[in-house]
Amino acid sequence: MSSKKIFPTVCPSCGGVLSVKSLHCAECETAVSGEFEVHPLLRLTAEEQQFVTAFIRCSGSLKQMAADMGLSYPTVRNILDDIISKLQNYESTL
Amino acid sequence: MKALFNPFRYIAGTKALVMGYLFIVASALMLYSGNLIQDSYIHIGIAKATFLEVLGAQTIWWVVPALLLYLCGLLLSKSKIRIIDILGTTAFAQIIVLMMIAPMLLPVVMNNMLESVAALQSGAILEPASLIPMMIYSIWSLICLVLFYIWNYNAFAVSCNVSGWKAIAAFIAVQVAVTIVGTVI
Repeated sequence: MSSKKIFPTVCPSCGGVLSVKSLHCAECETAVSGEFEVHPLLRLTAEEQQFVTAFIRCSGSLKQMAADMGLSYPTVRNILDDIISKLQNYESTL
Repeated sequence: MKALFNPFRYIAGTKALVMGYLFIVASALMLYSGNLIQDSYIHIGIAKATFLEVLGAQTIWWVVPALLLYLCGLLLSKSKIRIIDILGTTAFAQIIVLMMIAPMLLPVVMNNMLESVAALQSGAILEPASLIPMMIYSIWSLICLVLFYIWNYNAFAVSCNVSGWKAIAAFIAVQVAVTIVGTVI
């Protein structure tokens, strides 16, 4: 039974921001190691990342998103505004 | 359960405004048929008024607080807020007023209320048992009143993307201001 693992962005021990130390190719077993920063978008929660994906798919139409998600326009706009402010916070700490 | 306390997660804007205004018209029709009028923000009184006067009063007690909440939203919110959302959501919340008014027009409640008022004016003492319909209605209207404030706060919070103590303080200030102004005029 395989379960989808969630990409961790915050240290479970101290709450600090995690960075990527190594990457691995499942095809040829190549490993790349170094110090890689995590893009602010990857630091969003899975639901927020899904929202951003849906937003792009809808060409940025909040009305369309509201209709697709069965939510009201201001609710969708509020989710987007919260994500924007989260991204601004991440960027200011870079 | 979420929708019971915050339907504005799912409905806002023009759709809510149209439905909400229909609730306002329905409330006005009910009040008119019972010779009643919303004479202040959260008070209904007996009055011989035309249907347009009753509807006008209903509209004013919805629009004025909504516009004040919109102004608070402009000051407090970091989002681009739309007036249609605050008008729509607060209009939709008027269904609670409709729920409050409808049982009032039941003959058993209305007669009981008129009897109580007459007894109070004449100084007569009524048997507690004879006040049961009015007591049940009072409990119902209290539940509606609590729900009315919850819905209106959520209408403000969702439409203007505001939360926290500043939003609560602004909401209370608007409710108090409108109630005081309504009582004075």
